[in-house]
Amino acid sequence: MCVSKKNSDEKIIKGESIMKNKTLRLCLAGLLVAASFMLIAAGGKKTITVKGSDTMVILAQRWAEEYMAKHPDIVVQVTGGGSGVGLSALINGTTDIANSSRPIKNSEVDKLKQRFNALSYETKAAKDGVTLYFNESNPVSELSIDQIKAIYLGEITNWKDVGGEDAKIILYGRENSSGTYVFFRDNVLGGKDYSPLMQSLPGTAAVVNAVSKDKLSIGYGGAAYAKGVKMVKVKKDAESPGYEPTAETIKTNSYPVTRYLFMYTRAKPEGAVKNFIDWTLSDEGQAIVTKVGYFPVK
Amino acid sequence: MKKAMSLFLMILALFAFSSAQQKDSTKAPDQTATSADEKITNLKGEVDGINESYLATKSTVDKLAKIKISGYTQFQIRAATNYKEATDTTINKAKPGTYLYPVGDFSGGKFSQGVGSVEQLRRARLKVAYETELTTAVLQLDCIPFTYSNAATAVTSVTTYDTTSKKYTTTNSPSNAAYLNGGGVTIKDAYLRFTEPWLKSFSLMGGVFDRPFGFEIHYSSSNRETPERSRTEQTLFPGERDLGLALEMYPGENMGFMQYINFKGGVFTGNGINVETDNARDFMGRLGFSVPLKEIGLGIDGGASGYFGKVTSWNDVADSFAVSSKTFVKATGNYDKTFDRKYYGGDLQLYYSLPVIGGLSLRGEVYTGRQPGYASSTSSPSNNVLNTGSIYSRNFLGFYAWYVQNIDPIKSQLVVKYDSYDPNTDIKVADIDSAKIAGGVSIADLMFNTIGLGWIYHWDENIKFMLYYDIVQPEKVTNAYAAKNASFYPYTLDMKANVLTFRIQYKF
Repeated sequence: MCVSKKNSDEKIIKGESIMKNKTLRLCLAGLLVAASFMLIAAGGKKTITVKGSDTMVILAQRWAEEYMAKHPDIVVQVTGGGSGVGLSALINGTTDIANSSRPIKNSEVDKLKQRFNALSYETKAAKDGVTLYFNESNPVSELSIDQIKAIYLGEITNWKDVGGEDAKIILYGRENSSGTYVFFRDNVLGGKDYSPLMQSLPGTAAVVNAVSKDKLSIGYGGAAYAKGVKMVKVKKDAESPGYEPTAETIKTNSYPVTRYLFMYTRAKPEGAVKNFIDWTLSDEGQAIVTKVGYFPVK
Repeated sequence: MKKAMSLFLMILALFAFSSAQQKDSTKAPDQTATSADEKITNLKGEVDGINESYLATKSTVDKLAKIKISGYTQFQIRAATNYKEATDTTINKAKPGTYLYPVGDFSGGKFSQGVGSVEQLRRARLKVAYETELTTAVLQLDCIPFTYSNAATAVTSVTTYDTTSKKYTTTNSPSNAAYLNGGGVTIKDAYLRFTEPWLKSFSLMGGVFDRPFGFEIHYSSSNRETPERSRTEQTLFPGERDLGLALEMYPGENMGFMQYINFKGGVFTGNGINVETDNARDFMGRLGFSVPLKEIGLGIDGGASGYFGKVTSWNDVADSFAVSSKTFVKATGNYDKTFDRKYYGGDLQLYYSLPVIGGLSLRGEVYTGRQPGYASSTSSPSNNVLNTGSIYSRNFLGFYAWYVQNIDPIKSQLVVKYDSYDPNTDIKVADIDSAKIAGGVSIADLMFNTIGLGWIYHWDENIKFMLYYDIVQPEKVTNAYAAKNASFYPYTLDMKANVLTFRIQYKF
C-alpha cells in the first residue's frame, strides 16, 4: 500500500513534471512565435501609401519604383482615383500621402480637423501646364483663354468659330472627383459649370485616347499625357502670343494655365514619409518629374 | 505488323495536315487583307457598342451619384458608478432603488429606479442627401427602440374663458396612445439648401436643421470625442435642431481674406423641431472665422453667437417669476405675455500638430443670457403645445474647456473636458433660505460642474470604441434651511452623479 502510494506519488510527481515540461515547452514555443513576429515586424518593410490624383499617378509610380530600388526596406504603394479620392483617404486615415492636382479645400481641412485635429501639410511637388489636347488632324493650332472658356461653357459649339472647319466641337473632360476638373473649372471657366454636352471620362489617359480617335474633339489634362494628340498653344487674350506648355514657359509663367501638383500629409511629414517626400524634391526626384513630362518646382 | 500499320497511318495523317496548310497558304493576299479589315471593322463596331453602352450606364450612374447615403449606429453600456450612495434609501426611507437625485440626465439619459447600468442603442441614423452643384435636399432619420424617457407625448391644448373671473385658462391633456408611439423612427434633419450661382458663397436653408449658435451644437456625435454635449448646450438647445429659415455665407477659396469669415443665421420657431405655437419668432446666428496658419501648423477658429427670442405664456392663472434682490418675484396676468429668451455666446478652437504623437485641439465656449424656464427645469421649450406652465426667468452662465490629443501611432485619442452650468447667477447657494424656497427656488437653480475623461480607439475608418467617465459634481448645499428641505437635502451630502460609458460606433 505504502509502495503503491509511493508509486502513485511518483506518478503524480512525474505527471506534474511532464505537465510542467509541456507548459514550459508551450510557453517557449509561444515566446518563439512572438519573437519571430517581432523580428518580422522589426525587419519588415515600411509601407508608404500614396493615393489620389490621376494626373500624378504616372509620376508617383516612377518615383515609387526609383525610390524602392534605392531603399529596399521601403514599399511605396501608389493608387489613383482622383485628387478628391486621395484627400478623402487622407481624411479617413487610409493613406499617408494624398496626391492632388488642386489645392485642398477649406471644407476638407475642416474634416481633417474633426478626425485628426490637424490642418494638413502641403508640399509642392511639381509644376504642370494644363494642356489642351486636339486631334492631330485638327487645323486649329492656338486658342485664347476666352475661346477655351466659351467652348467648355457650350457658348462656342462649332470649330469654324475658332478658325477650324464647319463641324460640331466634341468636348471631353474629367469627372468631378478629379483635381484637374476643379482646377480647370475654377481657373479657366471662372468657376462656372461645364457644358452639359461635355463627356466626362475617368482619367486623363482616357481623355487623350478619345481625342486621338476623334478629329472633332477637344480635351484637357496634364502635359505629361499629351502623346498621340496635338498640344495647342494657349493665349492669355486675343492679342497675346500663344504658348505651349514647356519648361521655359512654365518657369516664366508665360503659359497661362500653370498649376502646382501637390502632395498632402495630415501634418508636417516625419520619418519614412518625410524621407520619401524630401527625396521627390531632390535633384534626383525632380529629374523624374521632367522625364515624365511635368516641370520641376525649383 | 501493328507497329508498321500505326506508323503508316501517322505518316498519312501528317501528309494530309501538310496539304491542308499548303492549301490555306495559297489564298490570295488581297483576300487575307479583306478578312483582316472585316475583323477590324467588326471589332471597331463592338468597341463602339461597348462605348455607347458605357456612356448610357455612366449617365445613369452620374444621376445616382448625386444621392449620398451615410449614417451611424452607436451601441453603448452606461453605468452609474455611484449607484449605491445615490440610492441609499436609508436617508429618505424611500423605496429601494429610488435615486435621491437624478443621475445620468445629462450623461446619456436619466437612470430609472433600480437601474444602475443600462445597455442602449443610442443612435441608429440614416442620412440621405441629394446633391447637385448648387442645391441640396437632406433627410436624416433616427431609429431608436421605444423608451419611456424618449416618449413623445401628444398633447391637446384647450383654452377656455371664465366669464366670472374674466380670465383665460389653457389646459394640456396628454394622450395615452402617444406613449405607445414614443420610439421608432423620428426625423432629425429635413431641409433644403439653395446656393446662388454667381459667387457660390451664399446659401438659403429651410426646414429642420442644427441651430446656428456656437461650436458644439454642430459637432455630430459620430465625430465628437465625448458621449454627450455639455450640460449648458443640452439645456439651452435640446435636440439641437429647430425649424426655420437661415442664410449661410461660406466664401470660396478664391475670395481672398473673406474665405476665412463665415456666417449662418436666420429666423426660427424656437420650439425645437415642432410647429410654431405663437407669433414670436426667434432670431439667432453665428459670425465665425477660421484662420489656418499653415506655416506654423496652427489653426484658429472661433465665433460670436447671439439668440434673440421670446417664449409666450398662454395661461392667465399661472404666475410668472423673475429674480429681483436674490429672490423670485411673482407677476400675474400672463396670458399672451412674452418673456425674453436671450443668449450670447463666444467660442474658440485651436488646432496644432505635435511631432510623432499627432494633432491636438483646445476648444472653449461660453454662454450667458436670460432663459425663461420652469420651476423644476431650466430647459428650453421644445414642445408642440401652448406653454401653460409658470415661467421662471433666470440669468445664466455656462462654459466648457475641452482638450483632445490624438495619439496617431496607436490610433487613439485622449479627451479631457470640463463643463460648468450655473442656471441662476443671481441666486447663490449660500443665499438659499426657507423664504426663497417658498418663493420658487429649487434644485433647478443649482450649479453643476462636470469633468469628463475619455479614451477613443479608432479600429478602422468605420469603427471606433469610446470609454468615457463623467465626474458630475452638483453644487453642494450647506445652508441649514435648505438642508431641511426634502429635495435639497441630498445635495447637502456631497454626492456625485458619475457615469461610465462604453460605446461602440459604426459609421459609414
